[in-house]
Amino acid sequence: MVGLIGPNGAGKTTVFNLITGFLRPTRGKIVFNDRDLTNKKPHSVAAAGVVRTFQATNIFSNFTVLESIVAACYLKKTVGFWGAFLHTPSSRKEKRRFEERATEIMHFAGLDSMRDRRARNLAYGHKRILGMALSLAADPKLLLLDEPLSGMNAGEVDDAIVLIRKIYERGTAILLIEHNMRAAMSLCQKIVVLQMGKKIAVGSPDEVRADQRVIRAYLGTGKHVA
Amino acid sequence: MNRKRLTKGLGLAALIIALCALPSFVTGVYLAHVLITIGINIVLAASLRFIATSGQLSLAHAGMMSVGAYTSALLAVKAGLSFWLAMPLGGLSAMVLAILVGIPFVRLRGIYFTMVTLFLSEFIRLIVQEWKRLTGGASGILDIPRPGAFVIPGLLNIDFSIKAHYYYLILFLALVSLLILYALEHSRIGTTLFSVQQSDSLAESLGVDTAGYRILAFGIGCFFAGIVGAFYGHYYTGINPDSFGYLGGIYVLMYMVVGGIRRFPGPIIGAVILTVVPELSSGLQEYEPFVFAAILLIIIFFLREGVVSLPERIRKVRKEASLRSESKV
Repeated sequence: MVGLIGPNGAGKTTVFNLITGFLRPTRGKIVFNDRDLTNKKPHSVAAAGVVRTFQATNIFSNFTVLESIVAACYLKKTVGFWGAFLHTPSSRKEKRRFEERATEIMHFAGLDSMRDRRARNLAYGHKRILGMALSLAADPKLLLLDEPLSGMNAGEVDDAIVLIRKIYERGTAILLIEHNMRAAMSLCQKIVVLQMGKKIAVGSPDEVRADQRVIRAYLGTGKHVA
Repeated sequence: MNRKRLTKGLGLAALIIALCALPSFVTGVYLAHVLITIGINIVLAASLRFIATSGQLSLAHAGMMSVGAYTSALLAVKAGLSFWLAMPLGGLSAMVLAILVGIPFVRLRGIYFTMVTLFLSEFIRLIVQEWKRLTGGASGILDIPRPGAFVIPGLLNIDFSIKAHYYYLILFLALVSLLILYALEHSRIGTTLFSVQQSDSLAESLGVDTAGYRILAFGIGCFFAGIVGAFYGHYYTGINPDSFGYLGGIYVLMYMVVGGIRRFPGPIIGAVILTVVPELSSGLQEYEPFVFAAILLIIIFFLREGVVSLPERIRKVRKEASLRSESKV
């Protein structure tokens, strides 16, 4: 698990947007597992196994929890347009398969008890967890989490950290943007620090914590003060 | 649950049988005409709602109707094609146009998409009006042939000599259209469209080609507009550019909103109400837009989710009332 940290406006979310195709890079290449993802559309990047979450709560508000995770299973579809339209037996089988998959994911994320509740009626913390659960439905090889803990209360943060660790231990690589330093430092094996769009430090949490450039980036040089 | 489904199914079957038997009771030419108009408007409103499931509001339905109408009429008049071939080709032409303009249009979201569809509708009308050699300009195309007779010897002889036969045709078209739209909405395709409607960016990040799905919804919706446009031409036997002004597209939007956009039956109910009301108040014909606006305002202020949500609303009010009376005791 790699953490991506840096002061506000350092360009962390921009990095996510570039990797996942929401923005096009003017220079350089995006390569994942030897596949060139530069200038690919976001949906193709997702199909290649790179799935992101969003900093702001981004869920399918009018769906129930189950419905939204079923919808998020889109990439796992095997039945084409005509099969789905004609409601063939295989399309019904696919629907059942999606529902089973969604049930597993709900269980994994601890959302079982909210199965039939509308996503918009969930508590804030659960909405954020649901956002992560949706990304899991797309079966990512690399998951990009954009401040998954922001705005949560202490209890919600603990639950979310447990979930993120569980996702990682299941074998999904994670790139994490997080302002909660304690969480980022404890979760990640490697930290990348960005400032003004530039990588200023890379290393283990301890190395980064001790790095003078990082301290300067966060606290300033002291010259302007006093 | 199963019993509820059964009663629903039986109710629907009874309704369809009643609709089939209707011409035996309704013999007046005028009433038949109203019923046919209702059929046309139902297909328009339901297909507009299908486009809306992907989060896009189109005001090009009148324009797409005219594409279908002109294609079918020209094929029938100039190439002598049978109506039964010309009508599907009319639908296809509207769909092809929708897909072609959809490719650049779906880059626009919300009100911007709606605006370009409105321009498109007017653009189509102007082309039709100015391309005089092909379309007959402002005077339009006259003497569009009736559909060829549909005969099953000894059983059925529909030769379109009377209005009831057109009624059967539009009834058939409407039922098939609604069946197709319903099947699409209640399949994985519908789920994906609704997910695009709710959050474009999230759906895209989960691997959905959102632009592709929005083009698909626009194309399919416009196909049905083209089909009923073709029907319209052969029914009226004459069309001109003013048959399909942009106001028509806005009326279809009103059918959908008045009936309720959230649920499948909404646009159907809206189309019925807003087709019947102006007929009842035919003395007020000149004021039709005002009557429509008044109905629309009442709906928007008092019944945001449309007429289709009325039973639910009444149940809610009753429940609250009974709760209040209980608390008094």
